[in-house]
Amino acid sequence: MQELKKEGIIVSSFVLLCILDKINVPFIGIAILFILPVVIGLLIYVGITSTDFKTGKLQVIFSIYYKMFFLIALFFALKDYPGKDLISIVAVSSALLYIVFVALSKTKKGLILLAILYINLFCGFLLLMRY
Amino acid sequence: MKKNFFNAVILLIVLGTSVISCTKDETQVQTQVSSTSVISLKSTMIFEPEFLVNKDNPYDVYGLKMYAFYADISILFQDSIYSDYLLFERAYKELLIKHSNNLYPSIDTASYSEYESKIISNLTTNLFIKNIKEITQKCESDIIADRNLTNAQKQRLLAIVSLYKFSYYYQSEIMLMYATWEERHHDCMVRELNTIFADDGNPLPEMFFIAGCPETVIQLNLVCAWEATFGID
Repeated sequence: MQELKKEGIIVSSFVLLCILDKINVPFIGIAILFILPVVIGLLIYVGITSTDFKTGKLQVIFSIYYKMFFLIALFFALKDYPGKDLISIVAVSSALLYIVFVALSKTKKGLILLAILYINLFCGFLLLMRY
Repeated sequence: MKKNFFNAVILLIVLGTSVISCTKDETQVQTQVSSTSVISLKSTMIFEPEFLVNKDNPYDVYGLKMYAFYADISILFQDSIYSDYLLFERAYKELLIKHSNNLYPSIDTASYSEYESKIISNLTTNLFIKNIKEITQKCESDIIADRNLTNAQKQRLLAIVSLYKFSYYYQSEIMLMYATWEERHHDCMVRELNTIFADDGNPLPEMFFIAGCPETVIQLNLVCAWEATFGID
């Protein structure tokens, strides 16, 4: 739960910065360029230092992978970079694969809910970033 | 604890939705800065477009004449008064009238074929400031040597290529001089990602880029940050 809180703070802070950039708050655009690698780094750190990493390494690495793709997809959509659609598709696909993987491994079912939450949250923001 | 987390997430969604859905006022209020009716600009901008001239393309003469027009345009970018869009638009229209003799003649696009469109599309996709001379000269030579094109089509294509290469050159130079750090960074990112995600039928660059995430994204970000700070050379 402690890891979940940390992850929530990291991801929601990045999303908040993206919203601030979208409404043209000065200097946030530049800040996001430098914050993205830091956020990804923190996400990896939180994942690796979690207690789940000792029991299911593959599961944690997979979860870091799809979360990282969601952050990159959001960054690409925000900046309107070429390839944003492809990155978004990869992010959603990897999250869906993660759900299947967790369902098959029959471990923590709560992780499926978290993945669904990520899909809903980020798909919503990705759509909003287009307008 | 779980309930608190979900409450926080729901709050974030509501906040995000409400902030983004706030409609921005499209109509800008014109500032009270008075713009003179006749623009008199004296630019100190130095372009060097001569290297783009191809002796086989008769329309390049107009490209050189456009120098005066873009030299004045560069002043508009330099002057903070013209950060007001309406003022900029008005000044731009005045410059178009003022430099009507320095611009290209109108190009007849009647019965513009798909084949011609493909030639121009190939040019615009692959054109960057680094390779502008090589790419455009090759394109012009191909057009002249192409037996599938009529003489009228060749003339039209040469005019379009000439217009495109000179406009691209002048605009790139202005961008390099007056663009902000963020704009230069964005320009670099778009250029590099366009190369990676080009619709060329080769999926390997896209695959390598995605497989290498996040290193590839961070690396590209840093390369463009370097280029935006210190320039290409």
